Amino acid sequence: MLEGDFLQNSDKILVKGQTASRGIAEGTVHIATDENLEIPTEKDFILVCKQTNPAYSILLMKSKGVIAEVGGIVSHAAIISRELEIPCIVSAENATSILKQGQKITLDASNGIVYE
Amino acid sequence: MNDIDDYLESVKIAYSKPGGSNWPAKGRQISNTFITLAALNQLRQLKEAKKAKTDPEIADLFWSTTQIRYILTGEFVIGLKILEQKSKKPSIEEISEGTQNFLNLLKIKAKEDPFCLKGSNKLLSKSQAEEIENSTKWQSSNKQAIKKAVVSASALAWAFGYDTYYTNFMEIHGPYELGEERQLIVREYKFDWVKEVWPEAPELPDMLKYYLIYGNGKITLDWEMHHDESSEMTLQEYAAIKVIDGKETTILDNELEEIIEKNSQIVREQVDKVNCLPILDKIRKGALLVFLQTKCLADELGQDWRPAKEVEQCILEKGLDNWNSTSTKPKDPNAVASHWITRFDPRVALND
Repeated sequence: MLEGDFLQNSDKILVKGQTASRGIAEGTVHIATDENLEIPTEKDFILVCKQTNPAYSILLMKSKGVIAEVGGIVSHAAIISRELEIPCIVSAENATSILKQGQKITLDASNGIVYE
Repeated sequence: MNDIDDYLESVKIAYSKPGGSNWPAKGRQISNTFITLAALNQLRQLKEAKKAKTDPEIADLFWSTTQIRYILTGEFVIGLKILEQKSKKPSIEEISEGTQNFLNLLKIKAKEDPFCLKGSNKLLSKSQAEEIENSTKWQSSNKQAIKKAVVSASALAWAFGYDTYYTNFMEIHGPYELGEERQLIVREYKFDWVKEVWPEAPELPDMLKYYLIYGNGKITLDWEMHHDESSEMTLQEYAAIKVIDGKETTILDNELEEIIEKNSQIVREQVDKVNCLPILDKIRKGALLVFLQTKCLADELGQDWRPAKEVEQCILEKGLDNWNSTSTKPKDPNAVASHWITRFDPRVALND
């Protein structure tokens, strides 16, 4: 799929953020917190969190993409995502409350948007 | 431009990138309590070393260039300027001279581009980089695993160094141009100091080294070791090495997964441990991490590298208040950069 395919679906945008690592991923939402860093059983999950600390690294390694509410282009989530070459957006306001656990989404990090 | 202008320009570039991390707290929540004592200690150590050693000998007492850069922007300039404001001692001239002395060490240690203004952090000469290219047994079959290995090692450095003081345990240098659009990046993770701060930490190799050769695109490194890659960057070849008791051993592809799992587990345990520490203990560990930066200098001078008793006194008296006082730095990245530049310029007194 091309990035342009998604740009036409602007009516389905759920969340916007700042591009931290370019790319597109499809998967199910997995909301993680500092208190719950369990690795989900779903293989194709997109990590959604407020912000990360070093303990999130294993989750990041196993995720298809990352959406973080807080942080910028030099935050953990951003640095690790670029290292792993997985899409990531940061400063995605209210992502953990708008997106629901298990929801199927498309993360178009190149354009900083999340679609249903 | 002189060295101090170059240094400030480089800091401005690094600080204009938004959104650093705040784990386990904002850096200033930890260091504000003892920043003047740490800066005075760094100034004293440098002055004493200069009486007995040449600049190249002193430069060798820092394991990385980034460590010197972090000392300047972490404690040295701001700490002394705060002190100057309160007691008129040391003078702005002394602070500027001390800053220049650290910049001189940086210029000795870096083979070129000491202020990262060209987007590099070069610790190796061209011939040294070519020697690595020619003598290394390169691998290319499990690129995903090496990327994860790099991430897990970085997470170790962040977990043991708090996010702010990871330069005690990690250095990224390069890019070294090898021709034919091939660039070498060296990532070194030095864990032999971990137990100085965290004596109960599990055994780790003294060092992990990852050599990564990229094709196409461009990688840049800034004053804060932030790296930025253009999207067309491709990892071509890599080599992983562990160092134990001075002996280097190549890590084979089939060993990487085990290392990733082990490192990730240690990171989780360390983060949990830090999160459970009382605030004053978090600050005490932060003080150890700050003073660890000049451990080799202290060792060479025959002194204890650990914080003096005055630091503990400060932590007891002011630690909680400093922790609870919130930073009011502006949110706009350019405003953040300007905010810090005024504080990092050793030639200008603080007005607030």
